[in-house]
Amino acid sequence: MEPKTAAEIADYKKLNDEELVYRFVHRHENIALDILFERYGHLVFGICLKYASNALAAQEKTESIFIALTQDLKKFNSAGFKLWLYNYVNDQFLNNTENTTTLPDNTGQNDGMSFYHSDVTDAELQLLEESMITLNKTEQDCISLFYMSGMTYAQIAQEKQISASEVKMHIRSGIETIKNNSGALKNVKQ
Amino acid sequence: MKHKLAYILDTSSCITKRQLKDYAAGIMSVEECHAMEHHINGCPFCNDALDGMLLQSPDETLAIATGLNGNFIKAHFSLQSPQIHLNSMAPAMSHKGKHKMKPFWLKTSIAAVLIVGAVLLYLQAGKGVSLYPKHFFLHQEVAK
Repeated sequence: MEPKTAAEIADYKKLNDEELVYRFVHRHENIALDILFERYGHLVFGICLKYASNALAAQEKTESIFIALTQDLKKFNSAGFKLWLYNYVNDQFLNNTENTTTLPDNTGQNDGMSFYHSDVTDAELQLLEESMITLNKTEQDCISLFYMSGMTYAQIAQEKQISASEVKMHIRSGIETIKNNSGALKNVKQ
Repeated sequence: MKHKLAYILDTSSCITKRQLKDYAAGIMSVEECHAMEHHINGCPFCNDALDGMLLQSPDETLAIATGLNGNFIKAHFSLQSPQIHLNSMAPAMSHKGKHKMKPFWLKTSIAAVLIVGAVLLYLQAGKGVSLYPKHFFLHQEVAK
């Protein structure tokens, strides 16, 4: 039985991704796929834009991906739908039928739908600071300006006389190094 | 000040369609822009989506992104299991030249009477009993 009233549809919007997938696959509630499209359609479209020749082709590819999902969602059996979908979309372009694409470990942390701060102990903060030293000068500057001064990519780009995409690249690579190093340091100290 | 470094480990929700469009169009406030970039730093999905948005020509991309909706999903499901409206498929009947159907009971009762009659005749013939009254045969003999 499909929901008809706005209140019933609003109830569906409160469900998490995995529950929506379950309802679509096992209870044949098509509204669940609509909600998933509402949540991720624009992100899938954005990835399609990376590979497609123009926006219209990207839109068609986005639609074909969601049509294919009507069957392929039955294969979903992991905990994180967002990560699974990310791999699935990339695999559509790489012509790879198996989900072998790997993501950085931090991806799984963003599955929540609300913003929250991680509980960081003083010891962990110390590890982060020590890891910062291992970064190169540009990475250190970009990360400091972004996280400590609260500047945007564009503002940092203006200050450092580099492009915004370069700022993003430096920040992302710096974060990756920090996380890896702080994890390694933690293991050494333990 | 250095405690802000811990924000690297923070997590937040994925960017919405409105945020994606506003960022690509460059009409986002500095605070929201920073919050969004904060999320992008740790989310490859949103990062790739934003990269894609910035790659193509903004006018066409934003127009299509605005019009993105799930109607095609509804259309797909309606094609898979079409609802058959039998009334709409039936030929239209004109009210003027209404074809009068003979009632079903009429044919049935005629058939029943014929069958019963045939059975009775058969039974009478089997017993050797005439169906005609005796005086009928008497009249025939007198005539001879």
